[in-house]
Amino acid sequence: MSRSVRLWLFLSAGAVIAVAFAAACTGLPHFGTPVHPYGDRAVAAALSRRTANTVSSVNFDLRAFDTLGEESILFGAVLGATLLLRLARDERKEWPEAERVLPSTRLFGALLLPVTLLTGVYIVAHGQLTPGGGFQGGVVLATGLHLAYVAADYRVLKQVRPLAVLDVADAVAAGAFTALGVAGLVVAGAFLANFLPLGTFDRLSSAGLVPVLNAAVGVEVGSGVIVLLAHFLDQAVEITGGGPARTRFDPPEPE
Amino acid sequence: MNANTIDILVAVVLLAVVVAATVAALTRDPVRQAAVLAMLGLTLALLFTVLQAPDVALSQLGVGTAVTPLLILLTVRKIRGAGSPGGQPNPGQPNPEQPDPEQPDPDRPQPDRPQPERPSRRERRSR
Amino acid sequence: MNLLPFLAAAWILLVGLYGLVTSRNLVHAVGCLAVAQSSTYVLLLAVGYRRGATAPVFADLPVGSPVVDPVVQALALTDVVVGAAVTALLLALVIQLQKRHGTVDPQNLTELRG
Repeated sequence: MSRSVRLWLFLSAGAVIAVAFAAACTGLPHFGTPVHPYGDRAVAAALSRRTANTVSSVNFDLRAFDTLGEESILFGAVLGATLLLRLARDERKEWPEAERVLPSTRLFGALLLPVTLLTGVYIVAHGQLTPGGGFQGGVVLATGLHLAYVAADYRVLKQVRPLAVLDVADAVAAGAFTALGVAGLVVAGAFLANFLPLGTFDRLSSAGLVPVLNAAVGVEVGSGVIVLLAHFLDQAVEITGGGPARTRFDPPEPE
Repeated sequence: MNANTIDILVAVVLLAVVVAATVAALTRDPVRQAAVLAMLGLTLALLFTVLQAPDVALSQLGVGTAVTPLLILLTVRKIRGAGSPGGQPNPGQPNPEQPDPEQPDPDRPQPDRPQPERPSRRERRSR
Repeated sequence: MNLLPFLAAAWILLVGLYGLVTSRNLVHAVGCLAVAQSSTYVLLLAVGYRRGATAPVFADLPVGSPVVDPVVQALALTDVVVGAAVTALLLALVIQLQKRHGTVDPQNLTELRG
């Protein structure tokens, strides 16, 4: 398809989408409407389960099955990227050189690294009370770890990042979500049903299964993002070689 | 703050999001696009905060301003290192025997020890 | 104002798709997909917004006060993180394409045919 044909096809399709979308929007409740039937029911249900952060309650209690799907997508994406970016036969790794870093940067990073990691853990642990949870805290943990790359260099990052452990942690956390669901099936009679005591409202130990699932997702997101970034960093920094298609199909030369 | 002020605030932030999204889609150079995407992530996080969604804002702040642009930058670095500079090599003449066209990084100090010799393809494979 | 956020979401979707369709570089195309995806967050949160309400977190809020819809926030929240993972997967595919075909221009790829 030539470029102009494609553009015209898109413009006509885009015009149809624009008109249909705008027409559909006029039928929606107005922006800022006071009528939220689903929201009201979700809030009532979350409060009855003694979860202060209703978003976490929706994610990890009321509609935890959806989240199982989401974290499976995440796990699948990490797995796929790992598979695609593994070391090919015609590639090799180069040990990167040590790089000089400004002392102030080094100090700043060394101070900030523990603070960031602590913040990440806090966000995961308080997901049932305040804004936060496994998804957000996991991202904070993963990006915080990469301060080691900014403050020192790639070799230091590799030392503070046990990839083999994180690979396993990612898989175990993904499996733990399902295992907790099965435990709910056995103990409480429904998949992912809450079987832990609900505790006192607005306490760290409230909301039953929510903090546990939060922790599982936090570990999975954190280790998943670190593993993803590790493979991309490997590709960009370490791995060289791997020419265009032709080289790959050469017959192996006799030893 | 009364409701009217918040409405205006939402409209302003929404406008910023729309502008950032438009610029991001129309920026052809991936490196610049990554920077604009980080800006878009920041404005989106601001919008979510104004719309009373701190959970989503927190998530967007980490993912949109850090992870996605970083992934794009790393991909660009890999692609420009593997192909010819500019990311659009001539597909007609792939020449695997040529050394990498990547220029030595001028910012990086050259190592004292002699540059290790690039192993031939046979050696590479036998490893 | 009643329609503005919805129309903004539509615009972001369309401008992202336009960038995707006219892209000459797959890395840029992935970036445009991220732009198009961000329209879903805007739409979801605009649907769930309630004027004069606060965030749906009752940690320091009297029970019964008006809050915005938590359901759409939960949807958008997971969407953000999963979107990043999918972006990473697509970028990994782009790297693999560059390695095997020596180009990231979709126009050239159709001519190569494997």
